[in-house]
Amino acid sequence: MTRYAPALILFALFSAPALAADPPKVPPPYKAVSTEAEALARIEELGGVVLRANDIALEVDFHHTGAAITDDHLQYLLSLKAVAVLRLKETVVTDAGLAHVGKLTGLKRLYLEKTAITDAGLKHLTGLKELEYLNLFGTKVTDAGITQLKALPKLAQLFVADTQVTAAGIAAFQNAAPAVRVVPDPAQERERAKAALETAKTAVANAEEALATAEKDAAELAPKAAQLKKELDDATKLLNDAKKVADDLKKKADDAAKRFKDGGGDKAKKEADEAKQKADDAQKAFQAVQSKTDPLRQQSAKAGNAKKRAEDAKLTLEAARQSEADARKRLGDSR
Amino acid sequence: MSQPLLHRRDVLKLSAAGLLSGVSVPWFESLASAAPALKKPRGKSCILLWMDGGPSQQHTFDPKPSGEFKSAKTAVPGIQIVEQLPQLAQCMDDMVLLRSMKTEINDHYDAKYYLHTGYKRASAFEHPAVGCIASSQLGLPNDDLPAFVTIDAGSDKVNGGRFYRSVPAYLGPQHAPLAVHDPYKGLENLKESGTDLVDRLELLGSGEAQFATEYPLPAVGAKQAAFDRAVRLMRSKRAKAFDLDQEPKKVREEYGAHKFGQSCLMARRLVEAGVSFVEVFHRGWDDHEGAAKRIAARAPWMDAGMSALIRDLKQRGMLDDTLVVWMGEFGRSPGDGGGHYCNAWSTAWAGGGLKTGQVIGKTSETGKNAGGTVTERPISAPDYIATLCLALGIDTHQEFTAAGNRPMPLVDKTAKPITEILK
Repeated sequence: MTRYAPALILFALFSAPALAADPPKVPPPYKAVSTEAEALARIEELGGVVLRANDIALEVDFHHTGAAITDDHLQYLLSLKAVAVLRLKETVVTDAGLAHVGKLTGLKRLYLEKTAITDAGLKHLTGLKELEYLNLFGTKVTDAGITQLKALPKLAQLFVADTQVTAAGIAAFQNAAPAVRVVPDPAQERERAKAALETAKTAVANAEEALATAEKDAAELAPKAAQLKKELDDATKLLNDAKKVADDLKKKADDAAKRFKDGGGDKAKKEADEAKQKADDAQKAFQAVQSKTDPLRQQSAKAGNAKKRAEDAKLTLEAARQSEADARKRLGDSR
Repeated sequence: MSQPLLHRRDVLKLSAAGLLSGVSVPWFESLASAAPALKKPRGKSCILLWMDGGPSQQHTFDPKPSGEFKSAKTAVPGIQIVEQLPQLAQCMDDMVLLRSMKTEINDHYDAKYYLHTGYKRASAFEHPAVGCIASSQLGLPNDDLPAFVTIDAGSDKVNGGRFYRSVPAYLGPQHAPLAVHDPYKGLENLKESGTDLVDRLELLGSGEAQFATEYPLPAVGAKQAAFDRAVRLMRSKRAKAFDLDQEPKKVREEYGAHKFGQSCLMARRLVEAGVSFVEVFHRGWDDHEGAAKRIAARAPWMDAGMSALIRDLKQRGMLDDTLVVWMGEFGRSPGDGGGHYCNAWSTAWAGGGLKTGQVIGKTSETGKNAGGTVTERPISAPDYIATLCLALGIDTHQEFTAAGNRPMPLVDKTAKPITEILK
């Protein structure tokens, strides 16, 4: 055998006329088995995957087996000890197959989404005392069907979206079995859609306010931007001068203090005290100028970027309105 | 049990050597012996929403009183996020916010590498990306669909440094991702060209068979494996998962009329069809001119796409088995978000069977540099990767053998996983 043999087998299976779609497989018919190993071998032959979490619990996955798994084949599962998880998503099993599944008393999770099962099949599941998770998404079950599931003692999650189950049916079930989380939950979805809309509206209001402020700045300050800039430049020059004076005096004061410390006597002390006084006064003068310059600087900056802030605020508002429209639509859909 | 028990690692080695590709292998997960701590019998799937360039935490999931965006309440009392994400706020009971990421690297490419692999980039040695790890650990060998797919959700602008591409390194080339370049187009090369494909493949096959016999090298096997796989995918019904036209109009609208939302929708379709790891990346989050304006503009489509994904997975009963992670390579500097910031940032997780509806970690709330420091439960890059792996049901204690017989632990030994979110 060469390494390429599998590919050649593949080509033999997919003869040219069948290229457009996967060919119909002819599954080997169900044959009674006597051991667990034999059952496992049959399941794998059919394309099923068996996973083992520990020595006891098994997970059996038939998803992607196409038409290979028929209702009869599910009898192989009865030869396995402790099947805890069974995935039958998108398989061709029907209500008849669930009669076998109903005998897997250790089953905790059952995936039946997008299968042809109906209310008639669900009655076989009422004996699954360990069942915690049941996925019926995209099946034909109705309100009457799920009513039968109320008695499942450990059921915690039930999925019925994209079925014929109604909002009223869900509410009734939820009343009868409050421990079960039924998905979807139309009442909760509506509450949440409302809450999202409220948040989105607040965001729009905040964005409108920000835009109004920015536009006010743009209208009032922007024309004065050049004037403010000039005032700021002048003030900055004054500030720099004041700082230079203050720094010079501080240096002189430090020098005087050093002379006194080096033993300059009373005269040096007097000079040092005077220099310190002058330096402190200069520092105060500098701070006075600074306290006038800072607001001017802020105003000038505000004037300079007012137009840009208004532009940005417009974009932000536009986005907030988009969110609000989305939220409104979602609320409409949830009704 | 008379069935051959083939350990996953053995499968890995054999397929890396090209021995198993194209051959049907019965296999059993023996997680029990590999990791007694794990309860989950089956690995989960992951959808990584990668905001390339580094999204600002203060403009998304960790708003501050002094911040540019106002915070709003969510479905979980006590947890607040920015008011720009109203739909996600209502998904909070299915989410976990990790607000204390502290990841050392402020350079785009090195940070992307670090947050994708859990290891710092080193010269002359490549570490496998988390998507490739998931492929090797969770994907079924010889499956029709690749176990790891990346989807390009486009970009706002070209920034954010060199783009990181996931590399399987020593896990083997079969764990490289399949790349979708545009969610609207799906897999463009999936259609057969001409009507003589079988003849052409047979001709190619016979030539290659001879070559493989003469040169039985792993690389030859890997190349053939990749080729076989492409043909198998081309012929698989499951390839429909790449075609968004199969979705009802209403669902497509819910995800939002943006490449990001449509990529999220494709990710859901792929996970539904059995893909283990999907990485959706959107580029352009390197907001040096300030994050406010940019994120305000992105918020509607991000909010719609990600919240629709969470809700849709939930409706289908898939959220417990599917982990959604939103993140970038780092966060942004506190305040306007103008700079890179790895010292205190957020990632948002959803589903995955985690203990949701909670926040892990805290950043400083007030002060001159509000949000600039982690004040509770710092999360390192290895902590994050280890938590992600554990959440997916991957044994983090295993060791691989890299080139030169170099033993490589799956996750850096210093990692302290965030066990408080794992069930």
